Amino acid sequence: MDVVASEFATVSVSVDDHGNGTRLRLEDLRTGTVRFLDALELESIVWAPESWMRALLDPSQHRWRDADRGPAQESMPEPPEEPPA
Amino acid sequence: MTTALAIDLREAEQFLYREARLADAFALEEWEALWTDDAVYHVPVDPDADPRTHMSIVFDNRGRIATRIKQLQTGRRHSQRPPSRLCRSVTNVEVLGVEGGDDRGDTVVGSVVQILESRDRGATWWVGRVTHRLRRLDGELRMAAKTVVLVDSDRALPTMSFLI
Amino acid sequence: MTTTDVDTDPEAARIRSLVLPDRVHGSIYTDPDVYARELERIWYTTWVYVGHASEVPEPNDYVRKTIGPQQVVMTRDKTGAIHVLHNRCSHRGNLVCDAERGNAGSFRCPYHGWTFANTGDLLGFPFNQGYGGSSARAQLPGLATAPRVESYRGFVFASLSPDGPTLREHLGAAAERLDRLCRLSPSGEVELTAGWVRHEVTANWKMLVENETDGYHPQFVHSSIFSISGSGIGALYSDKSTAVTRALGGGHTENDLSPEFRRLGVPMGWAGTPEAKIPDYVAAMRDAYGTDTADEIMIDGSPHVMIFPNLFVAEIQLFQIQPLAVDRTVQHVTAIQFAGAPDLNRRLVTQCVGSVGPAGMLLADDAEMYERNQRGVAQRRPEWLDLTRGLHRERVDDDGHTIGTATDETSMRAMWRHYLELMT
Ligand code: FES
Ligand SMILES: [Fe+2]
Repeated sequence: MDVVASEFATVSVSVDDHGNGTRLRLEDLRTGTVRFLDALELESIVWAPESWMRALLDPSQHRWRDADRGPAQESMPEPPEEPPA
Repeated sequence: MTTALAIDLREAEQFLYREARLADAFALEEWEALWTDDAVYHVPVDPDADPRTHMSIVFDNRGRIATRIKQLQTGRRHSQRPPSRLCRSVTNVEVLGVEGGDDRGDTVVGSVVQILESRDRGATWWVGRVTHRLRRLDGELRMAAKTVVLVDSDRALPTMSFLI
Repeated sequence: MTTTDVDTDPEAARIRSLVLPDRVHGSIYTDPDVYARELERIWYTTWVYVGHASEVPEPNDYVRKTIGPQQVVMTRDKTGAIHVLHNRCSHRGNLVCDAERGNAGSFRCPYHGWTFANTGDLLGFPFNQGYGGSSARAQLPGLATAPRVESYRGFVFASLSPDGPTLREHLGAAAERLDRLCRLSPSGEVELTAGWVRHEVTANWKMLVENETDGYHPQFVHSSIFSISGSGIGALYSDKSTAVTRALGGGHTENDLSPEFRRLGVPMGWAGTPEAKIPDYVAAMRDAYGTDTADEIMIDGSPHVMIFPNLFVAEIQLFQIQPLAVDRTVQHVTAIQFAGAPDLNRRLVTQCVGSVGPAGMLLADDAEMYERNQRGVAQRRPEWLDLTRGLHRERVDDDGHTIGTATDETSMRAMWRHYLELMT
């Protein structure tokens, strides 16, 4: 397990093999929230357009979004129909 | 470095050929006598899995090797009635090292085996990589372990009730 | 069950002429037309055992499985629900999953990169302008899913037909046998974590189904091992035995050895494992159920039940039967593992490995019999296989099930009755 930390966030990173194949396990150490990412998801993140990463960093897209926009734990907004180039 | 206990390639080959000939000929007692008391005879499905917690095709300790031989000797082991006609070749023999202490340990020998088995159902070609652990006991070579990793070990296999 | 009109379906009439109450015609095992109809009417219609929930323990785990010759993928989605998907890309038909097992929330076809969620939904495809943009996704199909997937005590079954009896109705009295199996775990759960040995035989699948609860053969086919291992199993299958062969309905059958185990009264006698060798297991069982109930459970032992058409639980091992062709069948086998019983589980693996598979001291000889039988029934005469053993002494037990003695062919007759219902 490694920790990637900055003054803004602290996330532990490890490769988990409790399932039928390996996955990346990410834990937000400040809240204990865990997310697993499989290989195809990771590859897709590597290739994701910068605009998607920027959108992801908008706090109102997930944890701090308004109640009428859905459950707070849903971490990704619905993708735009055509992602910007 | 050679010592009285060391086993060289030529001697290892001679042992493997003899073992192969005895198994092909169903010389059951002579074949059984090649094993040490702590023997392990293993044909895995997945060579990386722990055979104590995972399925194998064969995973015999010395007692079970004896049972296997006795079963063949009853003459009522139906899957070997009549016995398979067998001819195997052993190739690619290499001394891979010594396990368990420098010159007193077991010599690990790698090889490739190819077996043609002919039965009424037809002919089957069995191919695998073999690892022997050989030990010199009272001047005679014995096998303490034999592992046969078939190339198709995790696929559906036909009956294989001869001594591989 | 509706019966097909003879006039409009001559094949149904022909099959009825081949399967009689006291005999079956040899061609029922060898005729490719019969086999083709079996695939449609049995394997692609009725509930078929696919896998066990413990094989996909984590969200996004998957394993490749089969429904007869059909390749499927059993997945657990991120919410925990289990799906059975056909392993066939909805673009141009490529096989999507190659690995036996893995962890992935989505699958990407290697041919042109169409990508599917592990629920089967189409997520997208490369260069989507060729389809007029990503909105085309909604119009294009995803991976086909089994129309019905249900599980009982972790045993996952699928039906490729959208309607029919529920799984619970299909299992009927056989469900209680799975309960009996599960209660051998201190936490009431079976885990299939030991991996699989796959044994292929040149024989029709029904030869295997019939043999699984044929109590007449063990004394002959397995005498070589019974005579040298001191196993008491052979004696359970004799005319002196109080064990019974039982038709559970729905084509499911069992050899119920528990009367013998109860008569002998030895906890774990059925597993051939003395209590003293598995103290942790025995203690965990008594903790979980109380001493009296635990001892009862450990004396009664595990079922020996054939759940039609493809799940066979034989005390310590589980077989999944997979037909590949009219004369080719694969038997997938694993050692049953009980949650919370590591000491017992290791012994079960060792014992099971000695018995089953291509080199197994029991199953290699069963396989030889299936194959010899397949070659035998291809001969022209006397045309019929006899099914009359014990017909005159069948009786009905308190639960209304037909039973025969340990060596009677009650189970085969019941299997064929159900077979006719499905086939005609
Ligand atoms: S066949 Fe699968 S993407 Fe073309
Ligand atoms: Fe048998």
